[in-house]
Amino acid sequence: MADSLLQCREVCVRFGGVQALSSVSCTVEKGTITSIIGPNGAGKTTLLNAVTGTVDPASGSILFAGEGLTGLPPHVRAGRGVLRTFQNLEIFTNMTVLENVMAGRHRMGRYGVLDAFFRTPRYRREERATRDAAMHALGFVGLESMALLPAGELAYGNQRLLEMARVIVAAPDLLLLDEPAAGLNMQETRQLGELIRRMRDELGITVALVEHDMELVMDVSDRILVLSFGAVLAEGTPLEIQRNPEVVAAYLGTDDEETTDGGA
Amino acid sequence: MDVSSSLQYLFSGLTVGATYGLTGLGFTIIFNTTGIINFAQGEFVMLGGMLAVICQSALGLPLPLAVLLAMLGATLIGAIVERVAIRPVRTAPPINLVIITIGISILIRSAMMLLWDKDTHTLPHFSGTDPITVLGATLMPQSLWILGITAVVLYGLRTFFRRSIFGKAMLACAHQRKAAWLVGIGVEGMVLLSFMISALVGAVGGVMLAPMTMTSYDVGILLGLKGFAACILGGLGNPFGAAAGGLAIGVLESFGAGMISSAYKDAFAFIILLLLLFVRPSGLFGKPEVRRV
Amino acid sequence: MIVSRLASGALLPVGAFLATMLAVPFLLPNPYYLSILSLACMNAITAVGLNMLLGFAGQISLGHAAFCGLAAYATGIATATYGLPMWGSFLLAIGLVALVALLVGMPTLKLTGHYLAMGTLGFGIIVYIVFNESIEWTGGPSGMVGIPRLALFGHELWEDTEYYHLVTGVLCLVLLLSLNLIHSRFGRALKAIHTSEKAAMCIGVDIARYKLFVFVLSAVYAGIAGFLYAHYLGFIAPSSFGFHVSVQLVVMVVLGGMCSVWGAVAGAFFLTMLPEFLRVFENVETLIYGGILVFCMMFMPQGIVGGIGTLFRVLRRSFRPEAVSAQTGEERNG
Ligand SMILES: Nc1ncnc2c1ncn2[C@@H]1O[C@H](COP(=O)(O)OP(=O)(O)O)[C@@H](O)[C@H]1O
Ligand SMILES: [Mg+2]
Repeated sequence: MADSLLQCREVCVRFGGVQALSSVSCTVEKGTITSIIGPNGAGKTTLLNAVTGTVDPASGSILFAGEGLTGLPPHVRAGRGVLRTFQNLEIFTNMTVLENVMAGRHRMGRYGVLDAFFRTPRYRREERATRDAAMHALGFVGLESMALLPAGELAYGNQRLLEMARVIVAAPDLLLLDEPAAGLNMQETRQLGELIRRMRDELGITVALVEHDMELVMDVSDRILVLSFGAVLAEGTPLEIQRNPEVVAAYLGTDDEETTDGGA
Repeated sequence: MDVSSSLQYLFSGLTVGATYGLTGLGFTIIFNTTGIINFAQGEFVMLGGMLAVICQSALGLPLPLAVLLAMLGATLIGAIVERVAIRPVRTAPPINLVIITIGISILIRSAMMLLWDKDTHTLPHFSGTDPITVLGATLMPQSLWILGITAVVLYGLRTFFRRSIFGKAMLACAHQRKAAWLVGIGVEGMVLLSFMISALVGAVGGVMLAPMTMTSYDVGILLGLKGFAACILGGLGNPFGAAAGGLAIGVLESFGAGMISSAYKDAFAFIILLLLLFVRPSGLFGKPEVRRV
Repeated sequence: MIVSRLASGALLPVGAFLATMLAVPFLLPNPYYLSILSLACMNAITAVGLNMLLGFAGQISLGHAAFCGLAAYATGIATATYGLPMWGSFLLAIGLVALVALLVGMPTLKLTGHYLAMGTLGFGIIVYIVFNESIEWTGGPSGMVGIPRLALFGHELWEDTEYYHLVTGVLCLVLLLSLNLIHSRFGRALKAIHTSEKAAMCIGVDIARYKLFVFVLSAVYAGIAGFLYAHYLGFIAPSSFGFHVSVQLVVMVVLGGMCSVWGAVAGAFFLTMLPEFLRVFENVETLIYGGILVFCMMFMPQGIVGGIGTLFRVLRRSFRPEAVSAQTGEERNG
């Protein structure tokens, strides 16, 4: 318990009359890949939002590396190393691929406005380092040849990879992925699984993965959390989850043909 | 402050506010189908008044006919604007469309100046100028016309939105453009209709106000600003909020001018609008934007 | 290629621009045009700032003329009425503008979209009314006269050519600084806010602070332009800082092309000079002006600079299809 990088304790989130999360408690251990699964509308995205600070829980607490995150605005949480991707891509279409990734390193930036105005040596040094890191991240996901393209011109699958590069470059301690395989074909999904594993093994990133593709989830996860109607249905290793009759009844057996819509 | 003078401020505030409200209503109707702010809305108001003046004084037509023709003319111009300048570029970014409407307002304004003149004109009151006295305050019959017609327009639009298939379709456009399209509602036709209706509503306001305040080719600028303020105050997208917002602005101005300073009359309305927006960023009756991640 | 671009920075294009601007007076038939060009430079200074706000950060302001006016009246009152020295007046005017922008920006920038447009518009109108009505300070609607010419190191710039050189120099400096800023983590943060606020905050951008920063910065640019304007004409009136001027500034930015700092310059020059060319049409000039506005926006949605960029890309594609991919990436940076 002491090692848990992320601890959610009895988190409740309400939208008007909808109880999106009712008293959800869970942990993500350092250096693992923890998947969060559940039918559409179960509250998976809302849980990620509560962790990154884009929704405010009505009650409960969220601890990251032992410190409370409650009340902190999203950019401060990002500054502490909690980063995420989005279910509906949020690429910066007004920038090139490289700029997108360089923007992702915002939290590590140290030079000030005056450095930028006058291009001081400090600016040059840091900017060069940022560019190198960005190219390296693009290389990690396999997009370095497209660095100078406008981001909006990338194919859908590559935009997903770009979003991964944009968070990788920020060296997150905790990375939350919201349905990264949505809209990808089988081969792309397999590569994505490989990428996520490499992020854990080579970069030491702790990952919380929201995903509908069961093959991917069972393949990469160390642990799995099952949400249903805003509450935790089960928690355990992939094997335990696959054998849990409740989960099979509620989720696995019925629909794993989810689409990417749902808006949230 | 005594009763009669506050009543007096209230009367004049409501009278002007009703036209602001109608202008704001016009903004709202176009916003709901297109998502843009039509900066030429004030020109429709100007067209109502000026076309009536032209028909009445130059062509020598009787007032009711002149008023009718002015409203028809403005509606027609609204339709032309939509067909020629908006429809071909419907998918352009909103800021571009807004600038197109700014260009159109310059066009309409300068065309009116060229075709007619730069002078200020007045239109006869609809039913005489014998003031009515209420508790020491005087009320022009034209004010009653303005308030009455505004009420009729509001009621008519409400019925239109609730009952008629077109009205319902326009609301559907507002809520879900894609959904409206999917169920087979011709969005293009709705946009055309919305431009015609808001030109008509604007012209009604212009025709009613002209006898009270005079009119000229450039009255549309300020009326447009007030109308925009009205629909923002009420909450963008809510037609009746816009009408209420217009009345509120008119009354605020009137009391501000009467009790504090007439020089800063126009400033009061905007100061209060800003303060309100800081507290309620989506206006009085607007729904706060739901931000979904 | 990228590294060399970084080293040279924006010096090269700005230098080329400066050289062109300095050469132009030799080609002009008539010194009157020099004053038009000077005014165009001042408008361009404001437009470059507004473009950072609108084109890069995606936040509209329909009240920026008020900031020009605040600086113009502040320096006018300080120098003409109280005889403050020029540099002191400059600091005072710019400081005042920055302070007002900060105080106005804090609550106003919480608004979004059309509400933000209304908020800034309302601010502009209130300031405009104050200019008109505080007659004992500003001279009211008929304006304020007797503002001294700008003096640099004790030398008054009475020659139009001198003043032209000054405003060109200031514009180039503003351009250089702005281009540098755009190509830094701050520029990227602003662009990020434009496309996706939620993604921006989730990579660590403090959105409220950045919006406020770019708002104040653009107001300061407007203030610099207003300062130069007041000491150029020696006379200021509220109508130079009203609603339609604010709108025209936005039109400059959009018409020039929001994707690029240079677009604002192009838009400012185009819209400042257009009425001069239209003067031959006498009465119909505003009609044509409106027509051109509608026409340009309908057929050049990316603005002047965007239109030229597209043209280049089409030409290049038809000659050397393989070079396109590398090129398109670069162009975005302008
Ligand atoms: N911003 C919001 N406003 C209102 N309701 C929301 C919002 N975000 C999510 N919800 C509701 O909360 C519930 C959980 O949604 P979500 O977390 O997106 O589910 P999932 O990601 O598991 O599909 C749904 O009923 C959804 O409609
Ligand atoms: Mg979801």
